[in-house]
Order: sequence, then structure tokens, then C-alpha cells
Amino acid sequence: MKKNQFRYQLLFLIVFLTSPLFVPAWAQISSKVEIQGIVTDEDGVPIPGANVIERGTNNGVVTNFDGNFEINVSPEAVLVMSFVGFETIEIEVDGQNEITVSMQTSAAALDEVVVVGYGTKKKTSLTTAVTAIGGEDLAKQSSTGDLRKSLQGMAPGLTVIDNGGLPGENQIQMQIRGVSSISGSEPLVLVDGQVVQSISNIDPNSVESVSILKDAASTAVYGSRGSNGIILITTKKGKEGVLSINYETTYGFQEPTVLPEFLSTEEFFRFRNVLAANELERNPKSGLPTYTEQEIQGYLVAMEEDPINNPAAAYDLDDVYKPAPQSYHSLTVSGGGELVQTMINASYYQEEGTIWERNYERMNIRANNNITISNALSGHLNLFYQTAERNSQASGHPEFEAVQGVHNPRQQFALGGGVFYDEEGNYLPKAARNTNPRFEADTRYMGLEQEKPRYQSIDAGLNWEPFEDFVLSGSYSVQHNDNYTTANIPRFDVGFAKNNNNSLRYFNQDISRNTLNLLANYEKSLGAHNFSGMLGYANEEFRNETQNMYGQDFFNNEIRDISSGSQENININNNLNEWGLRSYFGRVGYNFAEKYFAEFSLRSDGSSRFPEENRFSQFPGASVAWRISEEPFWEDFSSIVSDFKIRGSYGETGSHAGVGNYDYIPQLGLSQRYGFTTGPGGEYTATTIIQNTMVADELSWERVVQYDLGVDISILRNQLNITFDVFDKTTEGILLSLPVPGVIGLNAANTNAGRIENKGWEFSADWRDNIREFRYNISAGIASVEDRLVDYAGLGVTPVNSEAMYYRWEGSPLFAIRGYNVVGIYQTDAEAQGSANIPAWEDQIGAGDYQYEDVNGDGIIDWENDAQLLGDRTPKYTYNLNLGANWRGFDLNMLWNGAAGVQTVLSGYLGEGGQWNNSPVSTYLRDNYWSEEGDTDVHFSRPLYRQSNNTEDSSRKVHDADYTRLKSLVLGYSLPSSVISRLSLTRVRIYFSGTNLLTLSELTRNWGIDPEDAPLSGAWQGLQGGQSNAARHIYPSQLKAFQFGLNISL
Amino acid sequence: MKGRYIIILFSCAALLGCDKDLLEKSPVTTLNPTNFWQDANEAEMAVNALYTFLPGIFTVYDDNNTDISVEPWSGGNKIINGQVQNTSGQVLSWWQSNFTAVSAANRFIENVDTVPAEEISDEMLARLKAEARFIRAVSYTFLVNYFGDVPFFTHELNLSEGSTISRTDKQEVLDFIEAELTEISEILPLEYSGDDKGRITKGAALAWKARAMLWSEQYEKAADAAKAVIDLGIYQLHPDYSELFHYSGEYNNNEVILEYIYTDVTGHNFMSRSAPYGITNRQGVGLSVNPTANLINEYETINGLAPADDPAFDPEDSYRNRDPRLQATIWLPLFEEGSYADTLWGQSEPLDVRPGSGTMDEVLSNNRGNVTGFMLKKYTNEEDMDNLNNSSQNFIILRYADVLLMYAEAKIELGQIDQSVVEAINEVRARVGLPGLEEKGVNINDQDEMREAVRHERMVELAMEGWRFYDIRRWDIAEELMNDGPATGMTYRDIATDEIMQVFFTDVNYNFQKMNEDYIYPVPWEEFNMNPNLLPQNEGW
Repeated sequence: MKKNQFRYQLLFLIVFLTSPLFVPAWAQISSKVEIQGIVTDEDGVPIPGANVIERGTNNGVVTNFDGNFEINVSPEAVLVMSFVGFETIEIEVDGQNEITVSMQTSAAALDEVVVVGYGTKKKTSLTTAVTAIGGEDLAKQSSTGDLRKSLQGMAPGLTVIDNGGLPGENQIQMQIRGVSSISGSEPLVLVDGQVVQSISNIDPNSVESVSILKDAASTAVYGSRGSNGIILITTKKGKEGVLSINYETTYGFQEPTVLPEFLSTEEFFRFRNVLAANELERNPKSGLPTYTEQEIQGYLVAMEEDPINNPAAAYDLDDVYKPAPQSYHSLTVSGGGELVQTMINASYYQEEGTIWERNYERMNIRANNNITISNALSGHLNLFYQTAERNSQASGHPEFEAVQGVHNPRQQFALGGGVFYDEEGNYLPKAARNTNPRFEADTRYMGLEQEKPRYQSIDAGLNWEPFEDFVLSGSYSVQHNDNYTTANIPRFDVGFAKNNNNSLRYFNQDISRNTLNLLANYEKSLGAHNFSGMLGYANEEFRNETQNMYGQDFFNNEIRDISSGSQENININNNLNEWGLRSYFGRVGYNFAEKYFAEFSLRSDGSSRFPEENRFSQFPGASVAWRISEEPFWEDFSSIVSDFKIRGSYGETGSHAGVGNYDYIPQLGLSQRYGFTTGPGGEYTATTIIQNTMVADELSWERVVQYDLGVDISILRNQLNITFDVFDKTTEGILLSLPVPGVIGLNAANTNAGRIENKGWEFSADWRDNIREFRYNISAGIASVEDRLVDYAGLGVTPVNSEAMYYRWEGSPLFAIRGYNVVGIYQTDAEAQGSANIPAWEDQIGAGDYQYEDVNGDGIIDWENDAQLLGDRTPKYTYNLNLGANWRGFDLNMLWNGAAGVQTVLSGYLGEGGQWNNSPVSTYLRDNYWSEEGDTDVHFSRPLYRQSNNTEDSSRKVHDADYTRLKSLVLGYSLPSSVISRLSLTRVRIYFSGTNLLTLSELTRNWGIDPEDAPLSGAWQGLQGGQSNAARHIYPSQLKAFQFGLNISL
Repeated sequence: MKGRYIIILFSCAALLGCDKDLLEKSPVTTLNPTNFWQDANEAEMAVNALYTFLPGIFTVYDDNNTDISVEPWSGGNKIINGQVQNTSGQVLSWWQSNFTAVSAANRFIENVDTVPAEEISDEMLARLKAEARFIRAVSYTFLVNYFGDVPFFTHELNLSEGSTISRTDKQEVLDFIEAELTEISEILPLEYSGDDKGRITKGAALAWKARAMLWSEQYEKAADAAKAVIDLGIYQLHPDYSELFHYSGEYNNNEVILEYIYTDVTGHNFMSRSAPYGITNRQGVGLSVNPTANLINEYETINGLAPADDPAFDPEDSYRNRDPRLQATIWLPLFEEGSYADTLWGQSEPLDVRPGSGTMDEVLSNNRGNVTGFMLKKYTNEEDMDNLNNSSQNFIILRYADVLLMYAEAKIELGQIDQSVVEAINEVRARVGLPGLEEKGVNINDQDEMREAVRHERMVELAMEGWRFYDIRRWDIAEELMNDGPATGMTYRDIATDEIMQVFFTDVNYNFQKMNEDYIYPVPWEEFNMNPNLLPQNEGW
């Protein structure tokens, strides 16, 4: 396959460059009779944007803002008017010059077609839980630069967790119906029927629709990859006859939604006095410095005069983060003739980071070509190309250094915050760490890490209808993604800090994914009996090849030659990972008079990740529905409740995540890890070989069984649509890395053990109406999900990764918070000494310390017996409210979303009462600590220095992270046609868009922490001690953005 | 017509899809045991991996579990502060790392037999197995020392065995260790030639046996084993004590019996975590160790007397004329202008870390460490000043001086104090120019005085080599040495006030937990959680 890669790229380039040649002269307009007209709804309100096409030709226009249109047609032409949500109308011109058309609201907005697995379906015929989102609904939200972020709050049951925040960062996760696996809960995403490597790159402007398949009957046809739900994205296609050109641009800024605030220098000294006094009581030799009021005031004066030598107690985080510009351009051209219909979308996106010297830009081009060869034969050729660049520091932790080590608690006045530069503009180190946050962001010293991903795909296919209602289709897609990353760390010496070893790292990654899909579809109606059937075959081959090179000690920082560095430090490694999947699948459906529906599907998947004996597995799905509203007895209600459907489904799916490519094959690690010698000067490194990990030779898919029961109701001519679903989902044989007893001496391998249950419901309702020219729509959704680890394969309490306070045990949620429950704060020493305590702290505990709940009443507090469930970071409820309105040329769209029943952990310098180490003290702490007998309702214990009884993991570090936020606000104005028609434009719209403009949350109010940061990413927790480099690279993942946009169509 | 093309196209696509190896993928970038174990060379590569389980350079930090040094970081010093629980990471790490070694050695011993007989000589096979058996015995020595009774097995365990195995009486395991080391000492060569130098020898097996027996207070066996090492006649003290712990001493002495060998490729960052900022020029990652005044005060004067007993000793210039091992082990800081202090490599001024000195290593001044004023010199090298993270300085696991002192201690405990005992101790003292015990005034016929003498000698001779944690528990004195107050640091004349001050590190509040007679630690909570047969928990925990 490797030798073919170049050929694919070449082929791609040729096809790309020549694709416009396929497009014939589109929109050949023959002027015969000029017709002027207006399109309105039944109340006479103009409908802008309706399509007016001369039947049987390519000739068509779109109504302007006032509902007016002009078109030249032959005198005997028939005009076809269509608009979403209205019945399509045909009108004979019959010699008229002026036409007024009144369109009726569609009795069946339900005639809408929804994309489902390997096909499409009328919304009324759906028997499964599928949420469809139109491209136009996405376009109404504020511009985010990432389709996944745009999907947040758009569909009940879909949760988007943004751990990114870094420019171009891909740390965004999606979940459908909660967490059903420990190995990963990302839904499978397909674009135009092809599984894609990444959807972060899809320009939202090129999206026609998004379908979210939630229940197992809808995803069973994807078998081993359907257990986490499926997201089907359909991109826009060219349409015959209508040439449209659309250009959109936005420009704006983004900044952290909120940042923590710290004590002023004056308050800080007073706080340290309190701390020192408390500490002295605990430990007479503590010797922490204290400050007289005179000293404090003296320092403040000195600080005013000479802030360099008398720095502040903290940096102002507003100086560490900056508003970051962001811009976006997107051009979409679409149209076509009889033979070829094309949609070309090109977009450019650029953003700066809110930390200095980080940025990202990318360019996308998508060309979708449909080719109509004959009535029976058609094909498609879809091309996509993307190139991007992301820059950041190769080392250095600006966010971490902003809050770490700004003072030395043992020495008087040893502060280091506030200033970054001396008088000459040189970097100034803070108190003790020989660095500062700006210095840490400076790539001249920290080095530059540059990542250049490229992505290209070709998807070609044919559809053949040899006889009526029978369609064969086949497609083959080649996706290729290469990532080229370089990182250099320079040698430097700035006095307070230096680095002697410069280094270089090159990382190259080549990913290819080839997919073949063959489908046969048959549909037949015999009277009221409607049959459908589908048979398919698919295979997918994935290959990931990486090369890594590292070298150091080059004679200067500019040299980029690994081989010129010190020979013993050169490190080269490469890796090849492949998997293949072969699938057979089919589906049969039957309905009687669109009243009773039944559907059954089956898929058989074989994967290279399993040994031959248990390679294949089957995944069935079944669903039924009853449209009660079609029954004769319903007639009386049908004027109010126009559609009422009950549906139920069952399905089995699997999960692909977590199974390693070669887990069933035992592997030995080869390395150079020990030395021997021939004598003085003869030391050498020997090869060492050892098995490190157990073999997982009985591994299989995780298997999900899901039941779903739902109703779809339409009321008042479909003005109000309601959908409600309840589901029960069980994941069997979850992949657990069961902690292996130490005596085994190998790293654990995954095994299929244990069971997770997810139960929940989803409700959504939308209402559309107008009051004269004021059109509005309201939609609301709420989803509830609860996950439980009902069987943990006999395991006890185990930590989740290495995150503070997160554990799993039988019966716990998957992201459970565990610790001691604080029942109060001791008000007197006597009370403290007379109670159950942790033995390690027993002799220093006193008034002002936490009292923990002695669950088993044995008189001592110990982890085994007294730690308990304190919270769950998976929200119990998520909800959204979308409000849209149009009046004259104005449009307004607001999306509110939120979560409830969710907790998070704040540990480290924020959560542990300010005593920790040498970080700044939060302003929330200032007003909320115990200072004297009677302070019973304060949050924090008495401040102490470093570890104490009060820094144990307890409920005082657990906080509600419920929130409601204005996720998106868009206010637009479309210029009246009288202005733009002179420019031959059909639409000019300017708009303001805002993201995360308002956040209502206790966390934000008290702590300056974004609620979506805290529970889901653990972002700020990394600050507590910066355990790992990864943890130090924290970043506010939620950003507030202000943008201005312009949209021009012609 | 058209139809035919379509059919051809579809069948092509189908063929493309049906390629045979779609579902047959194998890891081409990793080794597979089914095509391994082919010859002696591969067997040797597999035994080489077991050497990485030997105690390495960071064993030095085990002295932070004793009275002679501390870790400058919050969250450290759990053992000396009495904060060990059955959930402590340290306890789990002792358990896991040693059992990983045991099981890797078992796996080797079982699998090496699959090497075809014509590809490996019997002699070679026996030697490689003996190397693996040594590593297994070493790991069991640690395990019984930490945990008392432990699961004991000499074959590869499957998961269900591993989840149900119960603990074997400590003495039975010790008997196994003794028998194994005795047996392999007959197999292993006295010395290696060619490029095999550095492998486990007969002397190493006997010396470790002495250590294992001494740790378990089986003095007769310990004395015999130590005597056997002495009688091999190939080991002797290296004349330059200091050189032993630097590159210049590697492989050119007869004192080292077994060492953990590091190379340019497998280097460690010990120096980055141990050496003063003045040397690392702020590139160190933060100190992990600070010796305490307890250690510094223990070194005798060059006259062989405790400082307090030597009228020549000047407490205001206290590092002059001391046991040379003090200077070889610790960077000595300035007391006041004019007093003796070391000068760091690459510096011209004496090391001044007094508060207010403004130097990079100012005591208690920054969050890099240096909380006592004393920093480590042993096992760091001037040559590595620009190569902090990739030092190839070896770590000595067993050396002859240790064997001499083990011999002396065992004999003293047995009450068999004869001239050989006095000579053993005196030999160690004479190497650094200190007078013999009699000259020092020790009554060599008094068991208590001799006990004190040998304990003192171990403390200073082996300081900052990581073995004291095992000594003070065996001697039943850990809880007396560490029962109250902060860790003590250097004494100095304050720059501002001119007063004599002492540094205290108050994160340490000595409270050593002696939970049971054997000083053993709890079985990790995680482990008995997985295997209830490991219960009951050790006494006191």
C-alpha cells in the first residue's frame, strides 16, 4: 500500500485540478418572457430565499428578502416554487407577467428526509431514535471553527466535551447517551458514508445535514463500531440548475471565559500572618515569617515605587492571557448542468492562542461532483484536501508558571509576581523558579513545536438502477493523513536561566484508511404493503506508520541535522500499526400503509484484532413503530395532533475502542537498558529483551445491548413537534485492565469483564410560528443519563487514571469522586481531640480543622472504611434552549445550554485552602476560612502550612459544577433587496456573533473557573503541583468569543 | 453494453476488497516470543534485562527513610514522619517492583530451557540461570525485609494462581535464599573475562548471602558468608575512598563486588536531583535529598574521636580535620567568613549557603530544596556538570568494606569478638587514616562498646549509599533515632545578626512508626484487595 501512496496523491491532484472541467456551462439562461413575482406564506408574509425554478430546465432564481423574484422563462413554462417547511407549488405562466404565490405550510414537514445508516428515510417512517440537524440550523449558531463545538447543545443526548482551548487543539470528545465504556466513548463519525479520520476539519458551511443515531437498532447496521452511537454528516451537493455563490467571513476575538482572582499583596501578607499563627500552634518550630502592619504598609509603598525589586504576591492573569484574534473565510460555489453537478467549498481559518506565540491556521477545499450518466446510472467523485499548521512552545509551561512559585513562604517579602520585564525589557525571574510566565511562552528560549497535518481524501462511487426500485451502488474511498511535527529546544543563557543542551525532534506520521462499500437496495410497494431491503459488504483497512527522530547537543541552534549532534543521544524509532475490518450486513423493512412498521438488520464483522477462532461476531437490530394517528379512530384528534407515533427498538452493537491491534500476540520489548564492561574505559550497552505485558488471547468486542422506547408527536399542523425517548443500555464484557496482582509481575492486559448500565431519557420539543412578519421558533431539549458500573469484575476501589479523587468501584458512576465527608469544622481543641480522626494527624489536630464522618463508627478515620461517594462528574441532566426570530431584515438566534447534577474536584492551590506550597491565594478563600470559635458555616478549615488533616481528599474539595450558559448569540441584519439588487446580489447579511457570553455557575462566581473546564477536563487541577508535563499544559478550554461576520450570496 | 462495464467494475471493487491479508496483521515493529529463544545469544539478552531489577543509584534516597537525610519536598518523608499506611505508594512500589523481578526471573528460568541444546552449552545455561536466581534471591531478600511472610513461588504464575496464592513463612523464604545463594556461588565464576565483566560473580552471591543473613539476624550464617568472601582473597579496600564514587574509580579497584552499571545510553539523572545549583547552574530539577546534621556530627575528628571528645575540635570551624569520608560524601558549607568550606566545582568562592548570602543554594530560600544546608557529593561527577540528565556513574551494590563490617557485626552479635573482628573494623578505618579501635579507646572485649563501634563505622562508611534503613531497623533503634522534632541542618553565624544559628527543617516531624517487633510494613491494600488469601495484615497495621 505504501508505494501506492504517491500514486494516490498524484491522482488526487490531477482529478482536483481538472474537476472544474467536468462542470459544463451552468445556468444557461434564455430570455423569453420576463416575469416578476412575489412569494408569501398563507398570511401574506413574504418568504425570502424560496427557490423558483422553470420546470425541466436549469433555469432558476431565489426570492429576495422581500419575497420578490424576477425570472425570464418561455411563455408556456411551469414554475416550481419550493421552500423548506412549505408545500411545493407548481404554477403555469400562461402568458402572465406578474405572479403572486401563496405557499401553504407543509402538512408534512415530516416528509423531510433523514439520513440513516446506509440510506435515507422519511421522518415519518423512522422506527429508531435519530436526531437530524439541518445545515441551516448549524449556520445559525456562532462560528466556532470546529464542527464538533457547533454541535454542542444541538441534540439532546449528544454531549460535547471540549478539553481543548489550545489553538487547533483536537481534545474535543463527543458522547452519545453517556459513558458506556471505560476504553472510550467516542461515537463513530461518517462523512458522506465514509468513516473519517477527523471531523475537526469540516467547514460547517459545507454541511448539508447531520444525523445522530442514538439507539442500537439504528446503529446495529454498523455492528462492532456502533455502540457509542453514530454521527452521519452529509456535505452539500451541487444542484442542477441553480448556480449559487456564497461567501462568508468572520473576524473576532476570543479570550478565557473567566479567570481566577487572587488576593492583593496587602491581603496576602495578612493572610500569611493568619497562616503563620495557626502553624505556630501546630508546630512551635515552624518559624514562618509574620508581618507587622507597618511592614505591610512599607512594602506597599516600596512596591509602588519599585515594583521590580518589590514585586506583588501574584501575577494578574489578565497579563498572562490575551484576547486572541480569529478570522474565517468560506466560499461556496454550487450548481451544475445535466451531466455534472458540483459544489466547491474553500475555507480558511486562523486563530491565535490566548497565550503568546501559539497559533493555528488551516485551509480546506472540498469538491463534491455528481455525475449523471443516464437515467439509470450516476456517479460521484468527492474530493477533499486540507492543510494546517499549528505552533506552540516546545517546552515551557506558561499557564503553570503563572500560578506556581510566586513567593517563598519561609522568607519575609520573598514575592515574585506582577512584573515580567526589567527596565531594559529583559525577562525578570519570579521569586524562586528562575522563570516567568511570559518567558515560558517565548519560543526563542522554549523552542518552537510546529505541527503540520495534511489531510486528503478521494471518494468515488457509482449508482446503477438496472430496473425500477433496485439500486446497486459501490464506492471506494482513499483517505490519507500525514502529520509532520518538529520541535526544537535551543541552547540559551539569560543569566537567571540557561539550557546547555539544544535538541531537535522530528515526528512523522502517515495514516491511511481505505474503505470499500458495496450496497444493493430494493424497495417495492404492493398496494398498502411496502417492502424494502438492503444488502451490503464493506471493508476497511487502516494503517498508521510513524517515525520519530531525536538528537541533541548541536554546535548551534540553527543547525537542523540530527546526525551532527552527540552520537550517544540520537534516538530513532519507528512503528507500524495496521488493522482491517470486513463486514457483511443487511436490512429488511416492511410497513403497512405507513401505519405499522417493522425493521430488522444484521451485521457480521470480522476484525484483524482478534485471533482467527473468534474473529467474526454478529450484531442484530430490530425495531417496530405504530403511527396511531393513521388509525381511523384518530380522525377526531387529527386537527390538533396531526401525527402520533410510538416506536420501540432493540439492538446489539460492539465497541471497537480499547482493543489493541495485536493484543492477542505476545510481544517482547527489545531495548538497550543495561551495561557491562571489558574493564576500565570499556563500558558498553547490552541488548535487553523482556516481556512487559500480559497476553490478551481471549479478547473480544465490548458488547452493548440497548432498548429504546419513543414517541414522536406533531401538533397543530406540525407547529409543535415533540419527541421523547427512554433507553436502557447495557455494556457487557467491558474492556478492563484488571489490576494484576503484583506477584504476576507483568503489566495488565485488557480483558472482557464487568458491566456498565446506562439509563436515561431525552425530550425535545420545537415550536414554530409567526406573528405577522415576526417569525420565531423555540426549541428545547433535555436529556438525562445515569451510568453505573454494575459489575466491576470483583475489583475493589481503583483510581481513575491518576486524577485526584476519581475512583471506580462496583456500583459507582464511571467518573465517581471519592473521599472523606466533612461533617463540620471543630470549634474547640477539646472537641477535636475527643473525636474520631486520621491517626497520622491525631496529635496536631485542633480547633478549625475538618471533622470527617466516621462511617463505620470505629473511632478512627481511615480510607478503607470511611471514604465514600462524594460526587459524579458526568452530568445527570443536560439541557438546551434555542430561540430564533426573524423580523424584516433582522434575525436573532440564541442558544442556551447547561448541565445539572454534576460535581467536580478542586484540589491543589485553589481547593486546599491556600496553604499549599507557594501559589497565590484565591479571593474566595479570603472570606471563607475558619478563624474563630463559632465560624461554623465557612467552607475552609483554618489555614495551615503544607500538608495537614485538612488537605486530605474530602468533600470540601468537591463542588457543584451545574451551569447554564448563553452558548451562542447571533444577531444579524440582511440588507433590503432595493439596496443589493443593484449589485446583482441575492443576499447580503451582516451579523454579530458571540460565544459563551454569559455563564451562570457557582464555580464561575466563586472561583473564577469555567464549569465546563472543571468537571470534564480537570484542567485547573493540573496546577496543584504540576505532576506531569502534560498536566502543566493546562489551558482554559472554554473561550468567550466576539465576532463580526459578513455573508454575501449571489 | 453499459451494464457489462458496471458488472466488471463492481467485481473489481469486490476483488480489491477481498484481499487475503485484510484480517491478518502482525506486529512487524516488535519481537514475538514464538520466534525468540533461538540461541545462547538471545538467552543472554533475556538475562541482561533482569539486571535492570538490581538496586540502582536511586537506592541512595533510601537514606531519606532514616535520621541521616531528608527529602526537601512536601509529601515526602512519610516514613520518618510516621505517615505510612497500607495505601502508601511506597509500600505498593516495594511490593510490585520486587515481585516483578521475581516473576521475570522465574519466567526466564522456565523459558531458557526451550533454547535448543545444540545452541547453548550446559555451562552457559547453568550460569545464565544462576544470574537469574541471584536476582530472584535479592528481590526476595527485600520482600521479607519489608513484609515478613510473603507469597513464595519459583515458577511463572497464571492469573488465578496469582489471585489466590497465600503467604509463606518468612523463615522458609530465607532458607530458600540461603540455599540458592549457596548453590549458585558454586556455579558462578570468580571473575569474568572479555566483555562479560560486571556480571554477577561467586563473590556477589556470597556477599549478598551475608547481607540477607545479617538483615534477618542469622548472625552465624552471616559471619560465615562474609568470611567466605574475605577468604576468596581477591577483594581488598581501594586506597582512595572518595574515588570509589566517581568515574575515576570505576573498574580499577578490587573493592567493588557488584555494581549497577550505567552507560551513556542508559544514563540517569541522579546528579540533577542531588547536586547543588552552584554546580548544575540552575539546571537541576530540584533536590531529592538533603543530609542532616545527625550525619555530619557522627564523623570523627581525624584523631579518631567524637568531635565533642576532641579538645582540638572547633565548633565554629567544624569541618576541619575530620574523618576524610565526611568531605568525600557531603559538600561542606561555610560557617562564617574564614571558616573551612568546600568550593564547588567550577566556582572560586567557598560554598556559602547561609540565609542572606544570596547564593544560588541559599538554605531554605527557594523551592528547589536545600533545606538543611548540606548537599550530596558522593556519586556525582565534575565531568557531568553539563550532562546532568545522562550520567553513567555506577552504583555500588556490594563492596568489600561493607563485607568487612558485616563480618564484624555478625561476630560481635554472636559474642565471638576476636582479633579478626577488630582487624576488620580497623582495616576500614585505616584506609581513611583513622586510628584503630584500641587507639580510639574502645574496650574491644566489651560487646556493647564493640557494637557501638561497628554501628558507628557502618553509619559513616556507608553513608548516603542507601543501606542505613535496613541497619537501624535491624538494630531496633529507628524509633529512638526519630521520635520528635524537626530535622536538623547546618549551624552558621548569621550574616545579619552575627548570632550562631541552626537550620531546622520543620516539614519533618520525626515520628518513626514501629508497628511490630520486626519493623515490617503492611501488605499493600491494593494487593489483599485482589487476593484475600494475603490476609491477615501484618501486626499493627
